[in-house]
Amino acid sequence: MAVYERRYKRYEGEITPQRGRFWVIPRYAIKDVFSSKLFVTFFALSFIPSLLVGAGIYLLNNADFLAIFPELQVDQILAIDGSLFNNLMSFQIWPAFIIALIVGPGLVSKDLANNSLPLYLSRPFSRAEYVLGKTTILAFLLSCTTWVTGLALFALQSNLAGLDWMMENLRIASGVFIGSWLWILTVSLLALALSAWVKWRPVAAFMMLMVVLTGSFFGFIINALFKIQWGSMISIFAGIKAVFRGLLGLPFDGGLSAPLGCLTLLGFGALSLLLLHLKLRAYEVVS
Amino acid sequence: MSGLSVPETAQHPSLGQDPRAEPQTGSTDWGMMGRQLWGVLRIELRYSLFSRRFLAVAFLALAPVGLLILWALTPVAKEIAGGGSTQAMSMAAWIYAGYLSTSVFLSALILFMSLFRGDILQRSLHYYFLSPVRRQILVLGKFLAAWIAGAVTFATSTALIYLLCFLPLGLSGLSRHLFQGPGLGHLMIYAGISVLAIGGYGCIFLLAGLFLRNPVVAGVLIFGWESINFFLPALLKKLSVIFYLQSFYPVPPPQELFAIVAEPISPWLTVPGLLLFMVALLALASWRAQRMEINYGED
Repeated sequence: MAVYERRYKRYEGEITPQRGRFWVIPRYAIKDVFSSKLFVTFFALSFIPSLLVGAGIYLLNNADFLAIFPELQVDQILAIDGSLFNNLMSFQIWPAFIIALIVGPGLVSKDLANNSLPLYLSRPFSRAEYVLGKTTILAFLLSCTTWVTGLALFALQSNLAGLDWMMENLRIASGVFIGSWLWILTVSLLALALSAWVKWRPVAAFMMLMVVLTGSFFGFIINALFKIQWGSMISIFAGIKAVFRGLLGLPFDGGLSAPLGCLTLLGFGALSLLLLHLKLRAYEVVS
Repeated sequence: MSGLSVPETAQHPSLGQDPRAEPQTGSTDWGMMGRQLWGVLRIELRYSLFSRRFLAVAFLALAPVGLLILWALTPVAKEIAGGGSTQAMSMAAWIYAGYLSTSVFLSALILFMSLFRGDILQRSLHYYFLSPVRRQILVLGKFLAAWIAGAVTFATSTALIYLLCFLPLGLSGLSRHLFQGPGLGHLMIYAGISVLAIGGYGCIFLLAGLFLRNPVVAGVLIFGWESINFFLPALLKKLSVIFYLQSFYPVPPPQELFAIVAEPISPWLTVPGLLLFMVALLALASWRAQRMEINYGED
């Protein structure tokens, strides 16, 4: 066919179903993320605490191992209860945060810096789908280090200790799942919002770190100076720790209560969504 | 973020000297190097103090000051008023410990990581590299500018925090503590720690900015290492900046629950030790800068 005969022709190939269009973004982005050796190393290292706890659970349920140490007080060494899962999740939120810090700041900023957002939004692809697609990338990565490993350990203990233990401790499984998702959504939306507003990746990463660390420090000062507890509501780490304590049935430690912790995370999430709503436009008026 | 304009960098009288004018005898022209250092320092100092990144530094430095002013003005029960200067000193100690590990640390990160990364992102580093200036001078000039900006800001804010902690004692109590008690000495020591901390952390972040595309991740890992310092055995404690800075504290802050106590190092060894550490890292940064090639497309 001669070149001049080429004209506009409607796409006649297979169309992606409307509901699953947001998967296009994570499908390529996750491949890109795992191409970094440094990231893969860190991602693998983030599973070590869970593996150690898993080894502990296995050994403490192993009759052969316990027979070697007959005087061992199993309950005193490692009680497999809400407290153990609370400690594990309180630790695992850090690698999850670092993963979001590495991956998140580059997700939206690259599209904005290169003016490629109109390329997405000129297709039958909404802003909500764009945000959902970008959030899915972080949600997948953060899920692996939080609720997936948490529930895997719960399943391991249930398998070894029996159905009775599982039924008595179902609250642990639900607590790990709900708490982890609250953390994943808050951190992911925060990372995306900062990535949208700060176009340079290192600066966006710095802003994310600053929000978290100054929140903890200033919250601590406010509480100490004004003799209150809700000063920690400016810290997402204080918020998630309170949520996990409440969900896993641990006694109140005098700090932020679980509902206030939940409110903190929801507040940060809502603010991040608002920032994304304001910034993500198919066009930008340059003044 | 406001960048360096092309003519400013390329045509600065100190930077723009013809390299052919350099004597061919092989001897080092210290005078010219001094003028070049002054030129870089002036440009970078202006850049450090009047750019958007300084807003973040100012916020980190002054937000605790604002909180303390609010606390002093509000009618909440202040135990310090009854407890006297001892209680105020202990309060200043724990506030300062948090301030050092958060505000000073983060400010050093933003001031120093962007010294080279910022120029790469703005695509303006090649103007410096095309100038007839030794890369070592460039590294030193940039470092000194950021250190001076950070040191002035944090020495001032540290002094303000210290003074505000004693405000509930009244002006007479404050002046008694400062001039008849140990107050003035403590204030100088805290300000000095801030200056050393900015320089010590700054060297690390300058190096991270030269080696890594995203130095903030290195910052997080260093923050984690510094945060668990209290928990580390004595040998590993020595591989952190905070351990050396803590040896200057006039009033020790409250210890963590599982803290492992190590023998503090004498300040007579700490100051030269920290300065030597900074020189070593600057030498490494200069070596890296000398072999650096710019590829703006990577960012």
